[in-house]
Amino acid sequence: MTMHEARSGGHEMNSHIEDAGLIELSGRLDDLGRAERGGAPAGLEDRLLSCVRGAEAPQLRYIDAPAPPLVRAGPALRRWMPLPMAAALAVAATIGAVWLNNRNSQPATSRMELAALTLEQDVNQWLSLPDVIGQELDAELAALDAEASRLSAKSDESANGLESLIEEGAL
Amino acid sequence: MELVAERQQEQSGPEDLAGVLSAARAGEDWAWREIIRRFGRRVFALAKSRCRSNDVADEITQSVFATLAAKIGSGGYSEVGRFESWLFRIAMNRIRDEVRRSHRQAVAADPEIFEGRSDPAPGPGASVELGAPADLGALARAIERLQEADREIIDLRHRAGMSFKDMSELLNEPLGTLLARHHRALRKLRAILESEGASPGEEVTE
Repeated sequence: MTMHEARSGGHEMNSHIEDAGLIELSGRLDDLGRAERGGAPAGLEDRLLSCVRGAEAPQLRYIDAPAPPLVRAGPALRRWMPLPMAAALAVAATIGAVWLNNRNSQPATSRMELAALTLEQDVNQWLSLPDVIGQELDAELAALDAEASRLSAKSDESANGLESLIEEGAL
Repeated sequence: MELVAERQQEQSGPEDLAGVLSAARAGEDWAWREIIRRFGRRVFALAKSRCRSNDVADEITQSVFATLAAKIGSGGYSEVGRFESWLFRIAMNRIRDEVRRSHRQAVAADPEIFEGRSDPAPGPGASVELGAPADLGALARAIERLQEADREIIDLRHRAGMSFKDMSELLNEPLGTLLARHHRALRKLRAILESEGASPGEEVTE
């Protein structure tokens, strides 16, 4: 085994390097790396072990702890699902209606006022209608009454005349 | 030959690693010690190569291992046989986040490692005679002058001690492409060293 093979650990040769100078340089880089690894601060391994234990501890505690109950959407939960959906739809529809109403609020108000005004006039006309009808009806009734009186008087005269004729005839 | 033993000790076979990971998933303390022993300093060295301070590199390494423990403990690790590339992907992401956050420029060399020390604190089992500390400092400074793509290859290969196969999985690049990139990065590094007047090695001539 060459010096370089020894430096590279023997597990992997630097066969891709043919230049003796580069092989030597590679060996010196290995020396540098070894010196830097050896220059690690004292107690590094102990600190790393503490880190590992600290990182492991939650995992071990979790394994020892009882498994939390699983919450799944079962039949009971699914049965109640339509209710919130219906409520959500209702809320959405209400919000939509309010929004549409607010969106065209000015023209709608004008139209509504106009309609209300027209309706009021119609109602007033209807309310005044009985008075008109009542006046005309009174006139008609008075006329009928007068006609009835006239007919009654005429009837009396006719009856008196008929009685006279009958009496004259009987005589 | 002692270096061979060191590397083999650092990087055991995937079968062995699978057993260690399985034990770590079960919360075995010895398994985590083994994972830390194999990879802790390698992650630290990679982080240190991109950050100025030991403290920041230390924090990044801790963060990486905390993530590792959380993912392995929760069964989040599923890339069987690709543990090393997975681990260093986590590390690279953490390092990039930190560099982006702090706007630190990649400065690898901490002078206290290389200067004023006759022994550059070799790792366990390393008994090979290293170059002069000042030379290693010059080498570290030369790496800083490489382009990011070249530097990434050098750092992963030599500082993190990754194999080309694991680097290929980490960077999602064909092995041949990585070897070519490594070769190119070495040539650029040598050119930088020569331009600075520092010899990259006695045998380095061009």
